[in-house]
Amino acid sequence: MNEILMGLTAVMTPYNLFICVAGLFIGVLFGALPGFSATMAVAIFVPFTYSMEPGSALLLLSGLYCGGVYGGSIPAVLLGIPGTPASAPTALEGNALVRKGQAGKALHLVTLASVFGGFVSALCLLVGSGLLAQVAMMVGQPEQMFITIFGLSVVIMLSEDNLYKGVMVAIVSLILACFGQDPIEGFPRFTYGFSALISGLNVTSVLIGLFSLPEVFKMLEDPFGKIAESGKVGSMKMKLSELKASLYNAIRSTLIGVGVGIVPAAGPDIAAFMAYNQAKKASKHPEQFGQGADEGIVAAESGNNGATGGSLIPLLTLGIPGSAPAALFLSAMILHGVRPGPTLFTEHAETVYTMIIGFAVINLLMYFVGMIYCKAGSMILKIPKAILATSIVVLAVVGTYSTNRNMFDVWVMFGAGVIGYIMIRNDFPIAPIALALLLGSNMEKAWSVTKTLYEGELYMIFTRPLTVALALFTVVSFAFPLYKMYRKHKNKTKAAKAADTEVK
Amino acid sequence: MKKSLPDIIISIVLLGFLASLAVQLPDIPDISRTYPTVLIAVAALMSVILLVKSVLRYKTDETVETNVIGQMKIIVPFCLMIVAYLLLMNWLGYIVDTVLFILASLIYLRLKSKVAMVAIAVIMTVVIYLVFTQYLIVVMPFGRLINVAIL
Repeated sequence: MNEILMGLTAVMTPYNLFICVAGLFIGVLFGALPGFSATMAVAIFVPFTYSMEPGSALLLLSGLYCGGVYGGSIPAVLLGIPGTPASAPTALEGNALVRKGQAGKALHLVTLASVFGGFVSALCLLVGSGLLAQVAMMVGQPEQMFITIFGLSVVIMLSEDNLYKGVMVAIVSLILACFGQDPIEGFPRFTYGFSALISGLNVTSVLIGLFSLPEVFKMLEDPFGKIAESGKVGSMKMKLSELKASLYNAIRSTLIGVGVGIVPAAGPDIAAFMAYNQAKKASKHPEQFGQGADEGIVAAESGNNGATGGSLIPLLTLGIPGSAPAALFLSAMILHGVRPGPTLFTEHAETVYTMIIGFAVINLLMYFVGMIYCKAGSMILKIPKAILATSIVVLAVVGTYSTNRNMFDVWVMFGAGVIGYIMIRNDFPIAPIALALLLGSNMEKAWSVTKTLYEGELYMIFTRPLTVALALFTVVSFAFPLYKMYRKHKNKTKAAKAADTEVK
Repeated sequence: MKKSLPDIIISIVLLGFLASLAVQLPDIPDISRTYPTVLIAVAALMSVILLVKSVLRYKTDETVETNVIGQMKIIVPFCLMIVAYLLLMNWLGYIVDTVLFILASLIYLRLKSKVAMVAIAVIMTVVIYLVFTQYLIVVMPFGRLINVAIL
């Protein structure tokens, strides 16, 4: 308790509060710009922390990280372009609400869900670090393999209207994820002679193209119309009953986020899709998903922000960085003489508790910073389509170029955009591409390592309790939506037959 | 246009793409080949099924009236403008190329005010350039022709 109070006192100094707010402001901007990410924000600002106190340095990085994950959702809602891959499910629902003239509601919901997810994940980091670290220790390659397969089951929910095409898109995208060096031998595959393809397709470039250019082309189908049907942002006010209705969904999604966050190599992007999938499964109105469902936004946002705290648990307790931002936190901590691991909580109690309490405070401050950005950002809807379409192209180009500083990625982005538009026009869902590209390389690596480890005796993986649990989850995750769809189809057929008999 | 025609075209293109991958498989070592081979085989099978189903449906399909040609008349030239923008980036440099693209795009999309057009083109380009180069430390293409002109 003393350590917690010590951390709270350190965070509440004017200087540290300023650092938190500054980190958030910059982080949200990084998240909102296509091609930029929370990881990039943390990476760029690590050198800026050299001269700071360790606690303040970690607060700045936490603000950048949380702000970056949240920031991606603002363009996702307003333009349908996710600033980061973690906001892709938000783009599906948020932009549908914008078209209905409810941009204000969508933005407020995104902010509240993000704050809730981030705050609860900070509490998990504070209270459950020890226990969750034990779970993290049990996650090996066989478990990783089932986690990725479990993640891919989301494809079924994402393409319920056209399951066959959705699965086909996911499989082709898994092939695209194989481009470049294989994860075991490092042999370059499917490069077509392009040296730029040796490191594989840049997922960020593909996602920027896939989610931004089709929106531009859709605007051009009616270049003189308005972005939102009403042309207005709509009220940002929300009823208490609406918030209460979302509470259970937010808690479940946050816990999924925290769980996914502690798994090495999984992060906010996978957490957002998984939480979205579970929300759709549990919803009384799954048919509203894709048409602007509040539940979808709440799930995705509390899920991806829930992963922020979760991803730091293995780092702080075991010294294992499970994600790119966690690795950057590790480098910053080492730089300041703070070595994460089991002794961290005793040897550097003040610094680590300043960081954890700061993480919670940052997430609360994010509400106010977020609302400022939302109010400014919602002006976008009043801009004529000609200007908006042009700006999106310019931003997509510069954003993609900045990820690797090469034009090849920009061409990949353009190609992905054109293909995405053709797919949308012909009822091929594009969301499975994001999921398959994000999970593809993890899945191949986990599969290959597991196969090598258990050579000839693959069934032995089921002697691991966590693998068995995850395998069961995976089976249920694939079977449940299929069963639901079968029931829906059966009911429809019954209703049609009954109507026929009545007519006769 | 018949409803199943796009599916027929897409499955044929996809099969071509998968064939281009399949011919590269023998050059890949065994250990790195199994996983993509399985995926390619499944994707090819699914494409063939989609193709056959679409061909069988083609005769009975109703013809649907769409405004595809009208929309393409707007979208295709805009795509060509983007292609020109990307091709010229390394030659003209980020600033000149982006100003030209924004002007061309706004003229094409019939923005009325000419003053607004020029202001948007210049301000947007300069702001993006300064933010990315000064604060985010991204070196933008300077342009070979600009280099030659300076020398």
